[in-house]
Amino acid sequence: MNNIVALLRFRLIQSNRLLKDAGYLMVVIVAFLTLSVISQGFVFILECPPEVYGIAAFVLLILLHNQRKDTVFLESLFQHKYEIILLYCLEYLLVQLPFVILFISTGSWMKLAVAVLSSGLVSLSAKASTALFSSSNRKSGIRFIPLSLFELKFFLERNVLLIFILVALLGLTVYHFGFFFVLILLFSITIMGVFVPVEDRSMVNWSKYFVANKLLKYTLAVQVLLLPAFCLALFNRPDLWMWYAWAYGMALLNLWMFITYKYSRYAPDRIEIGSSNALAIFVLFNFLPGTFIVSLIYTIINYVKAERNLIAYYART
Amino acid sequence: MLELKDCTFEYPSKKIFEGLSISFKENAINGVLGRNGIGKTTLFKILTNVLKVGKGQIELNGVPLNPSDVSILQTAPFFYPYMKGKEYLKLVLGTLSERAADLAAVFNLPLDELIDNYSTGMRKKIAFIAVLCQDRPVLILDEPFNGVDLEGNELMKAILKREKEGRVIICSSHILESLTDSSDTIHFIQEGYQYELYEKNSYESLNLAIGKIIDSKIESLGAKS
Repeated sequence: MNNIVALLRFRLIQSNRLLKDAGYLMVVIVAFLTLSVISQGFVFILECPPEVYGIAAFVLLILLHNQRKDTVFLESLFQHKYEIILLYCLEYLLVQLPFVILFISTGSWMKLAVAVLSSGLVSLSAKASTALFSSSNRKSGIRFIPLSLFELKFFLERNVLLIFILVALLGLTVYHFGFFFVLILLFSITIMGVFVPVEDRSMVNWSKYFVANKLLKYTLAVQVLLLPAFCLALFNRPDLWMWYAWAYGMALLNLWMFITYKYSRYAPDRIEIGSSNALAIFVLFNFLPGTFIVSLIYTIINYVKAERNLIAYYART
Repeated sequence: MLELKDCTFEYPSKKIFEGLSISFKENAINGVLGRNGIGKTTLFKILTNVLKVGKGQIELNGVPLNPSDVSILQTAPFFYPYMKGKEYLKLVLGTLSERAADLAAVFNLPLDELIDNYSTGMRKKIAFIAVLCQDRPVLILDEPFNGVDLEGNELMKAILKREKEGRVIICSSHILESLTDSSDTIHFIQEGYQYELYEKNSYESLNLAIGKIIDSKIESLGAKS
């Protein structure tokens, strides 16, 4: 039990150091933006049925759990199994804290119970899901994604379970339109991981309008997932078409932003190291009505920079 | 003595071992040697209960192994971002013991600094101190000497030799000299998890066995070209 208290205490200290490092002013700006995004989500979450919130929370927490790098460390730290389960449960409740406060303040007791239950279920199934992920993390070949989409192919080969979750969310959109938004959120999070590694420049098989072709290829490829989800949501609640269109557009903008950002870093003489903090802020801008213009401009600037960089590099070789 | 009895383990795409029986001595440093991907880390994950064997038993001195009896130093130890050396030791050990502080001083580790600022070798050293001071009966060290400077390497070997009483220490390394210097026995694992056990007085034959494998591979390369 002492270890749990020590770890949670450290989490507080860690958060403070992180905020200090990022700069408190920046934190206030990001917090304001985040709240703006979440506040729209709050209304939706209050209105959706508890089971929709429960499934969405469970799926996102399972994915979050399997991104953790400290599971083996924690296994060796705790003497008893129940201590780890309790720690996970508390941490996942803390992750849902804004919603927990919302449910308490509005008296949504059913949803509060679902939030606690989803944290508990993820914690209890942590061991099984870690084993499942660690076996699926052993790279397996996915043939249906062509090599030309290698970023996505390699990412999903290492995260096979993610494909099943995305397909399951697609299926659940038939049951409730809310899953469309969960799918869009998960898609956007996934894209953040897909384009992070940057291959050596010698591997960039450049041709005219290289980045534009890349954008087109990926835009078409992701329709396999996004378009059926959009249609199913539309079939479910046609009156919300504007919200779906907005989420759809933002997911695509997110995709374009990450592709253009990746190639904008290929400066003629070196690969620039970018700031993921700045990119995270643009992702937030992306989902705010109005401020997405900023992300769009950022994407266009990066696109021009990326094409120019690659032309300059290949003109020299 | 730590024993794996008739154990079987496989990933969905690959069988690692079947019917494996292997034992590691108490009061001794048990070296584990084998090429990349042969399954050394998998074996360590099984011993720490991260992975489960499909069949077979794992026993420590005749009773089933309790995962809390095992400490492990991973190839790339995990550290939380924004954590100081002192905080790490306190978290792992419950309190910053005098012994841990002394060892940190011997290794010249700045405990008041963030571990994010430590070099690879320094990270290995602080994780080594932590697992050593946990004082558990089984201590697994997965490539502990990688990235550690010469002085640190020699210190680690000397400390291990002093600390082996009452413990089963299992240590893997790809640096043969480090392993032969520190280990009392070496399990040389080969294809299909077939292994040969070498005692301290037969390390010369281990060298010869490795030499033979390399020679045969070079010969097959020559035959192809």
